[in-house]
Amino acid sequence: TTSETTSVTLISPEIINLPPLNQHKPLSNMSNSEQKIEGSTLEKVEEKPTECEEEKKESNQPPLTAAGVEAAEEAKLRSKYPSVGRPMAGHSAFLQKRLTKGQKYFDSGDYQMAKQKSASNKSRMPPLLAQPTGEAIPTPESVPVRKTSIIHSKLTSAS
Amino acid sequence: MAGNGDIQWCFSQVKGTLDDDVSEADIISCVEFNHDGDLLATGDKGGRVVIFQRDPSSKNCHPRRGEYNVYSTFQSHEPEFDYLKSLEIEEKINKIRWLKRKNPAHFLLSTNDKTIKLWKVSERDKRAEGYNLRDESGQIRDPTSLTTLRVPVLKPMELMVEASPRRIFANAHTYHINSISINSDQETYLSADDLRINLWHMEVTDQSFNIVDIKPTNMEELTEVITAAEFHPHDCNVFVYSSSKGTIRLCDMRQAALCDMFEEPEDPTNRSFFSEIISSISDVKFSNSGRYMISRDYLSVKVWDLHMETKPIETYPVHEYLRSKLCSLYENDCIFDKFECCWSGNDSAIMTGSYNNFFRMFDRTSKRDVTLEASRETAKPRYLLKPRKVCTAGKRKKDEISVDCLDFNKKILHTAWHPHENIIAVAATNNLYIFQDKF
Repeated sequence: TTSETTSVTLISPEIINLPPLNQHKPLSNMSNSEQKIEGSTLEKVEEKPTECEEEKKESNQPPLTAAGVEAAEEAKLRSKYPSVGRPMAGHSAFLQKRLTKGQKYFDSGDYQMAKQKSASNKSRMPPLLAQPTGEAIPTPESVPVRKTSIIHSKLTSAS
Repeated sequence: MAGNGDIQWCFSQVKGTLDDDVSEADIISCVEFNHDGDLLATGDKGGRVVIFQRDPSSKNCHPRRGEYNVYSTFQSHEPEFDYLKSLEIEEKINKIRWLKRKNPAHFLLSTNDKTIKLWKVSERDKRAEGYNLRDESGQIRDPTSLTTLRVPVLKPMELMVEASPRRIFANAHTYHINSISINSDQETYLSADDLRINLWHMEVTDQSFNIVDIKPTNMEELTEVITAAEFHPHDCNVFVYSSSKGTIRLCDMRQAALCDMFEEPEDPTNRSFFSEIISSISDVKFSNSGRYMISRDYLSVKVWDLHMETKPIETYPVHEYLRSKLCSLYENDCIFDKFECCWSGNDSAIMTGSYNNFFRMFDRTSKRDVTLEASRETAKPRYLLKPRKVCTAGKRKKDEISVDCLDFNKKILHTAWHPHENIIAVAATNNLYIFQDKF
């Protein structure tokens, strides 16, 4: 039988952090967005500022009250995502998503795999080559010392 | 303490790497001064706590300087895996709260999403020498070789600061812990998650009392979550908690006491899709005097008199120019950012963060406000911070920044104000900026 080699395609870190898709408003990601790495200046996401101003002129109410401004923003949202439900009834699905923030894994094995995968992605080496299986049975002396968990915070470097 | 004149803020120090090599673990997730302001603790996403100490010479020199150096650093929480729910438990430190000093050691509570820990931080500057059963290198001596006894003597040694976990309060929260607050009695504390608040005693780790539970019997009827909670600074029976619906509840733990609800009335015809989201309160803090409290919602900070629940006594707009950008902010999730707020030591000023590494200060007496920026460009010793301005429409003046050019990745969520002096700590992603009044 011929053995087929499967090619391992690497997913580069840039692709992993995709901005939200335009099709639907992600109910995902209710988490505290302290770690927004993907670029989120307004210019990228919204129409150009000049278009906004045109919209305002058309609505014929300068200057808009706070409520008017919000209503205009809501109209913009509805035009982009018509399927977004109005969360007036306390947006229960919304909140429930928030309560279960954090990526769900199938089980602990899935979690371990995901952790190892992200570590090997950072090292940019094909996973198979990073850990050679070796030729000899390891002894305590030959096994590398387990790294301590504290990786020093950069706040402690002199300033 | 500061007078009522406008404070001139100067750069003092910045901690953390200033280059672009930021790993997620370095992102600062909380900042807290201790009760005398001599210690400043930070927690980060990697579960580490770094404590800075005020440089004693900086306190006594003329002009006084607010300088802090690293005092202790330790790994408070590790990532865990909840095997029952197949969920990762982040090691990110959500809150740090200091206990008041009772003895030479320092105690603090730190919490991640699920577990609260009491840490003891103590100094060791003496070592005993001249043991009988051990020699100087620690090797056990042969007992038969001992002919005389001696009393070990204490000799000075280089200062060592050790942190050790004294209590671990685990398994009491189904949902994610957002707040911890120590009671004025210094013996009990509360921990709040999205739906419940528990009351703990420092000495008891295997039990806690549930004092608030807003979980509906049917989760489909869930309408609000708890966003923050705090004990009153002086009344041991009073605490407050805020919700995602924009309400604040002042609670009294005494039997048969009623609970007051603080909420600004809103014209129902003005409600939009965004109304409830932006009314969600991200932080609530009692004043040092205990007579007022501030609440932070997405666009403003409000000051409440505890005796009047009908409406706030003061409202300060933080970044009103974002109201016309709510659609985009909803799309990039920034509308859910949880900004904190804080009081100055004498309650005359309020500070809170914004985007583009801007932070805002409001003087309650003069009613003046200022926008300042924590940036690497101004990280020069004693550099006087210049007020920043955001322009919304049309002509942009020199030095102003257009709202569309703001960097929404650079958010200042965590700030802290020294309890007695005009020294502030501002967390900008992975950097901790320390600013001081022009002394």
